[in-house]
Amino acid sequence: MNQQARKLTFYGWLLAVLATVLYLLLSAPTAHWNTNISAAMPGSVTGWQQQLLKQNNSSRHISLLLSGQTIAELRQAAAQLQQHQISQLHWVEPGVTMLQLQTVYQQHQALLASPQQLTLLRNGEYQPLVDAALQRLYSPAPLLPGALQQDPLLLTQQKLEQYRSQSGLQLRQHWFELKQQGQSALLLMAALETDPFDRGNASAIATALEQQLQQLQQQWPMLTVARSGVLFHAVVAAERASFEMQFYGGMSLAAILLLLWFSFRSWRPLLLALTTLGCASAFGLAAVLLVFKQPHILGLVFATTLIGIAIDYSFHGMLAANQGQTAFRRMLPSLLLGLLTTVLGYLALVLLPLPVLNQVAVFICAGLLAAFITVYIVFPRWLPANSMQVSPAFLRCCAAISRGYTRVPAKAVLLVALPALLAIGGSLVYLMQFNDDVRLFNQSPQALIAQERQVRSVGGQNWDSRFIVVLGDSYQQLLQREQQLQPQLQRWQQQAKLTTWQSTVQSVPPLQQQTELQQLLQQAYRSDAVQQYLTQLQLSPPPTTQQWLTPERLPADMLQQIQPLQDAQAQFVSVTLLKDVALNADDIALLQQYQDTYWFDPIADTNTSLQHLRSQLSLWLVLALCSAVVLLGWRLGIRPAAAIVLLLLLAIGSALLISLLLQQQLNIFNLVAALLVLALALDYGIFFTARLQHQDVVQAVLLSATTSSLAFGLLSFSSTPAIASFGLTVFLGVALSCTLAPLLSVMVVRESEKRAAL
Amino acid sequence: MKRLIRLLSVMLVAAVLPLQAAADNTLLPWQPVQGRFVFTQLKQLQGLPVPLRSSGTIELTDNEMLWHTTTPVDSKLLITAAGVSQWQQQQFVAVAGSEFVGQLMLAVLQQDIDFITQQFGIQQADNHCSLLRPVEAPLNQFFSQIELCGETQLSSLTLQETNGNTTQITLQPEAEAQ
Repeated sequence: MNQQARKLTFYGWLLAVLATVLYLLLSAPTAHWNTNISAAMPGSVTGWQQQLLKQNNSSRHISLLLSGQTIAELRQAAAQLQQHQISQLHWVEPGVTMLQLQTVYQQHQALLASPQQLTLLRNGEYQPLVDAALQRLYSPAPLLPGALQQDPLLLTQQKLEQYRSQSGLQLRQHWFELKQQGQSALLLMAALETDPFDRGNASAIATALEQQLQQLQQQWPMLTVARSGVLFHAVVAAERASFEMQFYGGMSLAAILLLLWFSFRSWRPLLLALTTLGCASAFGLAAVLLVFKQPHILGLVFATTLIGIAIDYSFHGMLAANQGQTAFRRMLPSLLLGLLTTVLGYLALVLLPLPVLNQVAVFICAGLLAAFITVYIVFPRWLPANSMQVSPAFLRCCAAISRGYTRVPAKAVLLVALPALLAIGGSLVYLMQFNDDVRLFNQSPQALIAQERQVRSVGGQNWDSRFIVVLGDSYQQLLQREQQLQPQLQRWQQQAKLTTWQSTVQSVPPLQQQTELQQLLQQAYRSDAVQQYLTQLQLSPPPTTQQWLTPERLPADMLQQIQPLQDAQAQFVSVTLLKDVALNADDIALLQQYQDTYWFDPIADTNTSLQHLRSQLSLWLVLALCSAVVLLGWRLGIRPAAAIVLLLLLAIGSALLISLLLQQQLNIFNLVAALLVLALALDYGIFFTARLQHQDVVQAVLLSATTSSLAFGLLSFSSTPAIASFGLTVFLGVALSCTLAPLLSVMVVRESEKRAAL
Repeated sequence: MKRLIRLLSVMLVAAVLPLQAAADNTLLPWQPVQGRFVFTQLKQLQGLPVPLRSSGTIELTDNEMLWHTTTPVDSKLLITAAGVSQWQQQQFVAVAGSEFVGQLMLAVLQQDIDFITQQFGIQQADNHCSLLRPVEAPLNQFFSQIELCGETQLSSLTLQETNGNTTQITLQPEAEAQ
């Protein structure tokens, strides 16, 4: 390349960097970062399952339990809290919903009856119905307006009163009140108008709410607030991920800069390293924002490892450029091969159905490509030969290490390495145990989980995470299918396989049943028992009604268990919530008897997907290893390729074994880490088997491995178990690769040097 | 000057608070009801030509009330602040949505001033009676007013529902009734 072309390439690259930075400045502030751990995991199989999870209304609800003060003070605190408008959050008014519901039922009496009442009517047993109506009539409790005229047997009135009341909750206009161990408490509910996993909006709502709560706690120091809702967990997870990203990224960067200063005592390497890292990060982030509509915050935490890898290119580039153009050109093929193997390793992640890893792969691939181009274009221009002095202490240290390794006989290496590999492989196969539970990957703080349980328990919202799903093309079809399921649910309740359930059909029966009830009631009105009752009250039997009760008439809050679908299989989906489920596989199999009725366990489904993904990833690991053997064999020859593979197997096997011993079990992120170790260790192997000065390679690899170990080792302290597992295995793998890689020259390079000399 | 204003404000508030409490005591002068009572209930329901008359006994303790109708039907209701339960098949079964009725009945009979002042506007009526007008949901959705009457002890309650239904309950200590 001539001088003019180099200049042009340099300015072209500068322009590309500036354009990327500009794009980031414009798009990053408006980006929607996702914090939902389930969005980062493999999705459920069918379309309706994915839609159901995505549209899950309950994730937009929050509840606050206020306690610790007198009821009057709690009321004052609650009123004060509700007075302050918080954008995109509105308080639920249970009193208003109840009034709406009462109005709807009042207009549609004699259309609802309990299963027991229906059975009595179908059997023509009218006297118990008359007795129950009389008892209710003489109770001091008020009746629904028009109850006697429209439904003289008061079936609808009694059916409503049979609903299991949420124990201890007293309805007020704006909240519920209750007693907890003799102390007054107050339950407030609110709904969000935004996705709680949309980091920006969710964080703004949570911050505004927490400010209000803090003010209340200053005013009433004994006030205790327990929180429930996805919002709080999502915000904590996002804050934690954001902190970890900044903390680990910052620590890695600081360590790298210190290391550079210690090694070179000059501003030029610092500037070059920062330029490489800056370009890599900018291109990585821009690629993620371009490719992903709603990138996951967890992906950014994983992506901080880019610093550890990209800096390697910087070290190799600096040390080579400092020795002059020839040395730099000699280094470039190895760097390119390293880039290719790493990018290939990461590209494998793009093909996996794990969104967070797809994002990490795009980030790292774009970032590394940018790092390589920066080194290739910028370093020879900004770092003239011999312009940088390597610290004598560092040089002495590298020379000593290099001498130490070169003294080891090749046979001894093989004699130790092969049995060690067998022992490690055997132990790994014998002890290997995987855990695919998605809940292990992201855990909320214990205090928040305790609050969540407390609020859900008192609010009667402690539903199981598993539920029954019914599909249908219309509301009526859904209600009919739900209705057919009710006897089975009752049987399970009697068998103590669940304590209770909540279906929409309990609030609004299908039209078919409403018509049947009307016919049964007309028969009942003609019976002796009911006629006598009507005569006693001087009432006339009401005519049949044509004003049917349909789901559309219910308040919106009551219809949250039915959602529209954009799916070829059905247009609507309804959810039946269950409590204290103890159903076995045989029980669940019974659901197959009911049309379009399914058992849905999102956590188990995700775990199964993870298990499947893990098998897929294991296969990828083997394939990646085989590809590396072929590529290395083709480029370097059989012997160096075999030596590198031995190193890779030892490093990956040991890293996984130690991770297994430390964690008790492995998970998918340990395997992802193994794939990364493969890519990184390949780089070390390539450089140590290249015809480069052993001492120079030791310098570059020592610096790279130290920075990589720092970046990944820090991640192992993450409070997010998925990240910690990943960081631990990569740290172990990198440290072991770095320790073992210099032995490759012992086994391979001497021979090639000999061949070259001949 | 500021200190003086602050002092005056404090004194004013201190003076007004007992007055308010005293007003409540004047408007609700009855002793909390305790023990066994005989009741008669007259219910007038909209669209029902005949009033519904029933009678029975009430047994009132601190936290609950047993409402036993003996005529014309035999039925038992257990009324607590948590709600109303009906005696069915040898056990009390909770009647959903009845929490406010339970609270209301207990608060009125036991003269729970906190509850009454929070839920009702109180007004003095003639003949030893006070009118309670509910100000908050859900009570104001069901009752337009409640009239409490009695000289030294509460002797009658009239529940006026928003839909026009009226329930009049008269109370007499069991000992006096005999």
